[in-house]
Amino acid sequence: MSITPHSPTAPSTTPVLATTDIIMQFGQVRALAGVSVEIAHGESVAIMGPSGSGKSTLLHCLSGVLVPDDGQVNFDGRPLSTASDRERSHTRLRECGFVFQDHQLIPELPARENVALPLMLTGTGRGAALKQADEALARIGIDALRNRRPGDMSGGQAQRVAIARALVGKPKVIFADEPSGALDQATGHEVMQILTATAAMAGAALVLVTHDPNVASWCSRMIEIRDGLVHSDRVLAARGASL
Amino acid sequence: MTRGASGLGSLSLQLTRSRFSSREGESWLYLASILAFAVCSGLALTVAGGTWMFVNRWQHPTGLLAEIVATDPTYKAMPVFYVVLAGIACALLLPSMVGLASAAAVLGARGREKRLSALRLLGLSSGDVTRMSLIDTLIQACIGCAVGALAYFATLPLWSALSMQATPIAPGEMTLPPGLLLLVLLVTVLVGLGASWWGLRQVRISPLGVARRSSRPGLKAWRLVAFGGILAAALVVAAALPLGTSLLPWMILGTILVSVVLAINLVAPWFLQLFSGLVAKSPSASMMWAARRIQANPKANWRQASGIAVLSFIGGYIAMMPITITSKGPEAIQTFAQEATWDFTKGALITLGVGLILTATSVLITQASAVLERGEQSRAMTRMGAPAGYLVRVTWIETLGPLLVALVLGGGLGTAMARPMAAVASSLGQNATTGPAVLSSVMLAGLVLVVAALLATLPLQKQVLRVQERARD
Repeated sequence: MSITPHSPTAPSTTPVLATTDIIMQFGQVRALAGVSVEIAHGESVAIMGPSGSGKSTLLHCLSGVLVPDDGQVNFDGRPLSTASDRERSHTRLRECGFVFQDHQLIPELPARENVALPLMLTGTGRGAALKQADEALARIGIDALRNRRPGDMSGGQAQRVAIARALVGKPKVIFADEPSGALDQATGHEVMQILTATAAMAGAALVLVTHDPNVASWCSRMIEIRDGLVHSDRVLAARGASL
Repeated sequence: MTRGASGLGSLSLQLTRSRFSSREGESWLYLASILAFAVCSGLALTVAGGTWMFVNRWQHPTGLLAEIVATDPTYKAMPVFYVVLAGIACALLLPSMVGLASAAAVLGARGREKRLSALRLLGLSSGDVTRMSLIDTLIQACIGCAVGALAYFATLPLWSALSMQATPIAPGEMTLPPGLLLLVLLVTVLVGLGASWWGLRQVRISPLGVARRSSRPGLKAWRLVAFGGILAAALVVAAALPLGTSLLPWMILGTILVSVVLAINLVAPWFLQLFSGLVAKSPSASMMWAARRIQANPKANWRQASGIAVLSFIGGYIAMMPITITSKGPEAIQTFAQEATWDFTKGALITLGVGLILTATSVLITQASAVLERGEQSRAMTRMGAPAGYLVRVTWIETLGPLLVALVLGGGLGTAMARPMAAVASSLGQNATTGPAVLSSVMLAGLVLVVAALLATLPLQKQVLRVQERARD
């Protein structure tokens, strides 16, 4: 099945993420030295760059985990960089999904409860949250794992569950930090296929940090960061992810 | 072989030095582990010293005690009674002490697991890694025991403010002979080494990383059956015991009490597993995670609360017991009875005090260790947007849930077990008057203690969340 980006009911011209000259300094190190980027709804963007270039810092600023020292970050037209910690957390929980390098599933919870947790944290009832979690797991084809705990899964399986968790709340943006970094090449390929395909199906933008050009090639656009600045920003040939 | 062991020892020492210079929180874990060994060994020596004093006073009675034994030979049983009570106190405190030494060893191990994994990548075998870990624990335990022994000697003069058996305690009386002192320290170190070895069995340290055993087999219902059997037998035997001036029934009663305490530790994790499985179905996200944490390792959760259970048991027992000694007879005996009237209370309060310190230390270091261990997970949850109080709520529910079970189980069983003795006392015209106050004080102290330990770890939790980990690229 070939995936075409899903269009929201009323296509928005406002970028889902926009930064204006953001600067971030850690002690003597200037991690971001004035970065301005815009990411559209449903777009998939790979942020690449060498070690220490500032790509993870940019991801954290885009998601509101970090507040830049200067410049502005807007999330779906709303200023994120001036929002309170509580408001930023609220935005991340309700409008973003996260996929980490080491999946970061809660080891004590079975897969379906791991996936349901973000929904329960937003106040969704347990029954409804578990139902949606089961559906999310089924969409990715891992419903057989729903009662297994992360310790009883392979790295690839756990990362698939993490993708289901990121998608279950119907986020506007999915942030992925080296999502296949801890996996072998074949499993990493599968995980990227699932991640890009499900994000496209859900109409969510995907912002992915990686140092691997093969992983970046799954995205429709690549931003290269060097020394805290945007070195290049180019459109990639569509790869046509399918499930 | 010897050269290999010496090489590992040298490497352990080098890594210990580098730990302190790394300033990444590992040195905190190391020092906390040493502190726990110090508290454990210091209190073990003090309790053993007190028991040693009662043994000596039994073997060589002096002062008023010698006088009353000479006046009435039936009072020969009196010093033995004190020895038995001291022995019971030691036995009741033993699980808490072992728990603390184990927590100390496991705490020390947390900081070194990742480094051991890196060493495996460099070519060390699984056996080498185990030996290095044991050497590390040995170093911590030895330093902790040395500090504990110093604290024991330093606090000896303080005991002279107290009198027992109508005789003030002389510091020399509580001084253990060198052989016994070394034996107590050796046992503390061995418990730590055993716990460290056991802790290593719970993780798999491979060259590719550290994998913790996440799925443990569930606890079986035989625990409930065994507990029921022990409790029924204990209640029947305790009720049938002809308690009086003869020593043997009292010794049997002491054994029964210790057996019930051990039985509580047998059944409580099973109860926790059962309840947490039910609570995990709660609609609250905090309750769900906390309950699943308990359910994943009910034994570890119970270890944290077991000290409070023992204290509640003692509190419940005392609550039912008359705490005065009255006697008629010659003047010496009346004087002894008058001066020793609060001995039982004093002994119980000392036991409770020691137990509270052990529990406080244990809860504090276990919580601190858990905060550090779950640091990465906590940061991930915060990045996902989990509300600020969510992680704290989960920890509080996870800790206070087992504590409530401990208070109810311990206090209830202590009260039940004291009934036969209270009945004997009641037939002699003695009734417990301060019982409810003692029991509620113990329960309140236990609760305050655990809450204080939880509050004390909040700054550490905030510090862990503030850490910005360098991306692994």
